[in-house]
Amino acid sequence: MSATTSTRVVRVPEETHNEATQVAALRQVQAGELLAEAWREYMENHRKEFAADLEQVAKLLRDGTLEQLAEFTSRNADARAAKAIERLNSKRRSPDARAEKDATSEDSKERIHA
Amino acid sequence: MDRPTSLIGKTAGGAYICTDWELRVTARCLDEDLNASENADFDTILGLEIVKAFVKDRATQPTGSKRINPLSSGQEVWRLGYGHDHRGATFYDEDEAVIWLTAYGRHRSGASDDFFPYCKQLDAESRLLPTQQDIARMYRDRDRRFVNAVTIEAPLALKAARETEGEYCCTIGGELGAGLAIEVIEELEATSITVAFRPAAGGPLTTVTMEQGQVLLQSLTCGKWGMIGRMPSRDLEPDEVAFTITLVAGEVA
Repeated sequence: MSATTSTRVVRVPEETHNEATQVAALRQVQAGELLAEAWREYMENHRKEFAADLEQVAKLLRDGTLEQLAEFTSRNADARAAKAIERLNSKRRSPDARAEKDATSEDSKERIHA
Repeated sequence: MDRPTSLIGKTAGGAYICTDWELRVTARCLDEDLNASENADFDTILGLEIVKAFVKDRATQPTGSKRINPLSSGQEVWRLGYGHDHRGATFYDEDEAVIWLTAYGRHRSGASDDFFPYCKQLDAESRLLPTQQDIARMYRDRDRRFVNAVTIEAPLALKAARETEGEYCCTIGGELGAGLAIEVIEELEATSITVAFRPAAGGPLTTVTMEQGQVLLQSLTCGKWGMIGRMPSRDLEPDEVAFTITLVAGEVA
């Protein structure tokens, strides 16, 4: 990475940051430069996978059915749904916030009692 | 999100499509409360009174006026009423643009099978809210709608892009906002197609999947697309990703 290359900020896990910083120091390069190199390796390693997926889509478009194409598109549906559930669980209101909001509802006579 | 305008006000698989979200029923509610198959399509339950109320009340308003609380899940679940005693519970997931009917029953104050204690019991058992299987089915329905639409719309978009100077912008499959730029490289007798796409409804790129992008690319023209860092005439927006392909003369569809 040259000194004139523009840079952007990205958040990485602290552990990744620490390890990258340590290895970069040993190699006498900047941590960002090391991460950029890792990214190029990632792209190179996944290029074949991406190309194979494209080939599979092309084959489905050529010889398959829309249902098969939809199945390919949804191949990670379960994993995506698991992440959605994690997101929903993380959005649960805290007990304090809940109590406050429930009280508001009770005051406005909109509360549904058991 | 993936709501082609031609589907608004209609059922599609397990969904009823509204302008800004879709309505769905959880598998548990279908099976245990509505006496339907847990994989029932929405059109098979449209005749039920509570489902009519669900469509009528939630097609334009994502929440009701009364919450069902307190719930141990901590989520906001809204009362849906029809007639004297038909009651339902709905849950609005704004991030996914979906409203779920999560429970149905009769309201009989003091009775052992009154709807509201039933609702709270379901919540306490972690059976009130949509499950991972419900959401996965929603994704599969959406992907099916996307695939059906994109295979028709992508070739039309490509044709329009070839007739447009500069970048041609459109929405594909109701889900992807796409910018297409086509350049003729005369010295190589080749044509380069560059596509940038992003979620049509805005929001983060995470709402688009790699598979959707791959289906879009190959529906435009089959070949070896590669990722690219900018469009021919501009930098990418933060929520965009772009791919390009170069084809020798005669290969463009």
